[in-house]
Amino acid sequence: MAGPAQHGAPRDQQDEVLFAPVLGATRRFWLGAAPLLGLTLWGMYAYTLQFRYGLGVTGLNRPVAWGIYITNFVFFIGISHAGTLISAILRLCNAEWRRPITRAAEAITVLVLFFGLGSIIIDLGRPDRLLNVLLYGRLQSPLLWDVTSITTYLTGSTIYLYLPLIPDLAMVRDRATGWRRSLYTFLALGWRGTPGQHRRLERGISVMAVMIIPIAVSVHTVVSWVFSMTLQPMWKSTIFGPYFVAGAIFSGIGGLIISMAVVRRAYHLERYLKPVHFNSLSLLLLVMSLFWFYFTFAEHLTAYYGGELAEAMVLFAKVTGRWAPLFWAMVVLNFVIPVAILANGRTRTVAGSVVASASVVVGMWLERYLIVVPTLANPRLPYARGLYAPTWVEVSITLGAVAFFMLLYMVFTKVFPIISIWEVREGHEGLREAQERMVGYLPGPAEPAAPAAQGAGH
Amino acid sequence: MERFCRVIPLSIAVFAVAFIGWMVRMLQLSWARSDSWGFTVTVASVVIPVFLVYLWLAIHVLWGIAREGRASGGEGRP
Repeated sequence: MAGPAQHGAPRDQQDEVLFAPVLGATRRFWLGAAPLLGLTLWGMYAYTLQFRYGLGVTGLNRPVAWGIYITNFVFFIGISHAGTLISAILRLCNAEWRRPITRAAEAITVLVLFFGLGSIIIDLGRPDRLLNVLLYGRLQSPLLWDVTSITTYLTGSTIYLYLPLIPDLAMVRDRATGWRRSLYTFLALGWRGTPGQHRRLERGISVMAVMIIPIAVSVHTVVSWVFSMTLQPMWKSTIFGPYFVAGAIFSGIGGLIISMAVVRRAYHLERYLKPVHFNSLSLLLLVMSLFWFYFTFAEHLTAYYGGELAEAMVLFAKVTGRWAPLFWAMVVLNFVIPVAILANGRTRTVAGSVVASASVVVGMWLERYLIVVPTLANPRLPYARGLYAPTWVEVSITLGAVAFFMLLYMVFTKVFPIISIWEVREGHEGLREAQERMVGYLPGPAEPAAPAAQGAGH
Repeated sequence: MERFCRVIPLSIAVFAVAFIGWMVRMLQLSWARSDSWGFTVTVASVVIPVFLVYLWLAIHVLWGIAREGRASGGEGRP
């Protein structure tokens, strides 16, 4: 941990580019925010219609009672795995390249989780009855496990985002004036960088880094149980937990790469977010793409080989039937495009990784949609098969939610330093320590062989 | 403004206590109704310790940082 008075003036000057977005908004920022705000307001208008007239304005019906709102729920919770999980794993592994990317990742987690929870509320026909879930809930229901696990994850992720922010907030406080100074004084908790404060902070971050990994894994496992605890065809699967977790990390890395590229371009952070960071994350994305293909193949092969009628109907509806265009688009977007781009060192550039990530994010949304809808449209019970097409209200609310998330992320980058300044500085100051650690991983010098052993060798 | 900064650890602590309270309420309801007791105990036994750690983080780490900041009287640099 960097000592209290170790930050020299040259580094302060070099890091001014990190404080600039926080200390004032440019016209470019407002121009970027305006269309997002417009889309957000349009989405809110669509929701007021749904609130007023009920779920009749959506395409939801019997038996397809879950549509793109639940798709969005699973998708947003998946994207949330970008931050806390990746940041915690890299922190625990002492991966030095993590330093400039952890903040951007953790911010995604906290912000997008609100949209995951929000999607559930949007899906309710009577959101005014939500309180009943808390007052009279039964923990036998996987839906209530979701409420519990997501609240646990959101609280933990918020603390995990806030703890490493404190030293940076203090640095901004010392540069800010007026109302900004008051705001950062409040948020910085009186941080002075004393050894005692550093000790407490480091202990808190370490505990959270260890705790947040099982919590993050459990959250998406519990999300998968909402499906796999039923007897619906192609939902009742024991690998749904790891399948969902792998997909969540996959889409999360994609979301993180896109956000890093946007922030890098918008705030001229090329000196901090280097091609090496994109390369490392791209390799992780490539590995997760292969994992995703493996899980998808295993999931569909067992359904095909079993040949159970209800499962086969859903499977063939996906692979050769009504949803085949979406299914094959999903395979191309999640596997063919990312592998083609990222497996080749020449195309694994910043631009290449952004294209692959955008492909993955869209592909993973399709994957979530194809998990939710085809099964409900082909129920096991002898009901009539269903059809579902989202209405403009659902599409508007979804676009509004995505725009609102992007807007909040933009605002976050204006209020808080998007790169963890003190951690980057700590990395600079700890170069010798890192070198010693590297030497520690390598084999030590050979000890001189004992004479008896030499004799035995002959 | 620095004197108000303890609002943050206090809010986290209050939320953690409230969530633990909700879990206890779920246990109480489950016991009174003889309904899904095993599930409720399992979930509560995982969630309550996690929120106790959050409570510790709010009190020991965040409150401690705020207290030491005031005690240092503005010495040191971020």
